[in-house]
Amino acid sequence: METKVLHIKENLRKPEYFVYIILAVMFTVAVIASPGYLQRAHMSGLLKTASFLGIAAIGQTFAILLGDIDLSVANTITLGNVLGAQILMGSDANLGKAFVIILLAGILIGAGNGFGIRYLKLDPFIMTLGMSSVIEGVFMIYTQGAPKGKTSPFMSSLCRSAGTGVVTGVFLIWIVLVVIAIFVMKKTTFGRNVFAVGANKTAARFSGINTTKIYFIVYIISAVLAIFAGFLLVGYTGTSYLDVGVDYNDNSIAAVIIGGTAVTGGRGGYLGTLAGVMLMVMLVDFLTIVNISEAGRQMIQGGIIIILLLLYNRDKASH
Amino acid sequence: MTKVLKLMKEEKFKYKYSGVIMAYLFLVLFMVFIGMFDDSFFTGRNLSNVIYTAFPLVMVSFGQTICLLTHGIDISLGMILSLSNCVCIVLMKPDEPLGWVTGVAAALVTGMVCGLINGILIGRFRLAALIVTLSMSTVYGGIALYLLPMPGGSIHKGFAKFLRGKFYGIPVVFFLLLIVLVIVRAVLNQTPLGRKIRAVGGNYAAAYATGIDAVRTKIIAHMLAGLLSAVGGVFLAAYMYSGDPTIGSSYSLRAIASSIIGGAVFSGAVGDVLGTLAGVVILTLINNMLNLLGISSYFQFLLQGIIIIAALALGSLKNVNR
Repeated sequence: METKVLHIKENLRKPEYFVYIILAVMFTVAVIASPGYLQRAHMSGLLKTASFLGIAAIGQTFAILLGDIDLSVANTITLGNVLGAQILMGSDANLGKAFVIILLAGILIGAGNGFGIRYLKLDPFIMTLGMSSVIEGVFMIYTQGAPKGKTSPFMSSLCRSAGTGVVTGVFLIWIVLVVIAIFVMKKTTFGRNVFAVGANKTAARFSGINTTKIYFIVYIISAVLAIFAGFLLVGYTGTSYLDVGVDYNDNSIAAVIIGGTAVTGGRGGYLGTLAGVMLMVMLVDFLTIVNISEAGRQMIQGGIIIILLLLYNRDKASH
Repeated sequence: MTKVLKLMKEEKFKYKYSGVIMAYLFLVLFMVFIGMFDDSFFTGRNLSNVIYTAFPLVMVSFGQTICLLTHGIDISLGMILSLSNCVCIVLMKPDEPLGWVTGVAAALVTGMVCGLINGILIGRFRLAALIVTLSMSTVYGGIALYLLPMPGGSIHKGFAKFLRGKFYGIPVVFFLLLIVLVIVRAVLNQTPLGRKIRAVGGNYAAAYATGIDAVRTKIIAHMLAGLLSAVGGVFLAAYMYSGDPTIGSSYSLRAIASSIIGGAVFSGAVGDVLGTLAGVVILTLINNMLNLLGISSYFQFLLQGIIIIAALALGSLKNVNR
């Protein structure tokens, strides 16, 4: 019995579980501090906002588990948003076309990243940064700086909650993806291989893992999920904006790291990221509710992440 | 001359400078390419414009190279530039004869303090540099926004005139750039501090075991990077005649790109600010070229991305063993 308690205690000290305690504390504080916090509309909005970040953070979790980072997430989201709105043009009839084009664009971006990293031997950091710039160029040229297009009824309905519940279509999609992501990471050969490559690339290669394949799949997953997050955002924003994705690089990376995935790769998982995403979204939301200026919000947000990292005291640099 | 040739044959030389040479080769080709298409490229006016645009990025990139040498990274340098830019403007007294001194001094100190905080978090507490500086970047950006909610303010006229001035037709900042280049390069390549920085970046454990105070070295490296970014911020204050809390947001990542194009590596120890300079000029010339050739500025991002990838792909293809 005593060993079991000890076991739980030790587990709680792991960042991926510890973050849930912080999340609970934060939630309690927020509920006490703002009266309308638990209202349906507010909770529904909160979960919806979290869904977009959460979907994008799945790919980022995979990339960071590999010991890499995907800096093209933000602009990929914007591309999805711009392409989605422009192809839909306010009609559900174009849904299939938009879906296919966006899927292809996502695969292309991911494969491009994979190609640069594996065949051109570029560092993932710089490759995804360069790709990010290319994507920005593509949507700037495509829109000529003035994005057009409109959401379709179906996309908008995904962002509305059904009846009296807090559940929106986007949230449901996220939950399904969460289950799949956790299953893939924990239970499949591919998931284990990602952890193996992240922990030790050379050892993974010598034990017969096709590392090139792993890289390609991870970056394709990341790009496809990011571009779909951008596509889903069309329903939320109504039309498209060129800066819709801007915050998603920093926020997705922060969510993954707060969630206890090591930047050096090979440790962590989406369960922690899930809490990291909620924490990030609740933090921004809470600071907005208590009417703190943008300046104060940024200072507190950055400060809290640093404090969390100091609390974990784990993500030691690689040497 | 024979000495130089002999030096060039050495394996060590190749290893040390291949990145820098590739960067300059690429730069020269690029300049010839632009020069072929446009006559106004090699004019004094255009070249001084390039220097003015490049100067702040050069400062941040030098700082970034120092951080990369320690096997670290600093994503907050852009926001340190913003913050010191705002501090400089807020504390500037435009009407007094020596009103610029407090502003500039405070800005430089701010840069160093920011670097100190980053250095302590990364060196002493051994947190991952990437995420620490990403978060601190938000903090510094917040402080800058608090100090100067809107772009604006005014600069000491004499000070601005000096930094925007020319000496025998050559911009004053060009000499400033050369001075900084010489100092930073001498520090990194010739002094014990530089060797410590490279040692810590190359093999942390070995450096520690040989008695190098690794923590202190990292802190000093980040302070230097902060200071250099602050110089960029002060220059921008003078160049734009005002402050802007978001002016630095794109600098961090571009500084990383130019350091890497210039031959620095993420794994530390290898790199030379001379190469970084070439990297910055390459990135700056992309926009310059589009302006000269009258191509829509929407193409700048696309070209920037392709050129970053192409320049690095050319350089890294020969290093098969990576």
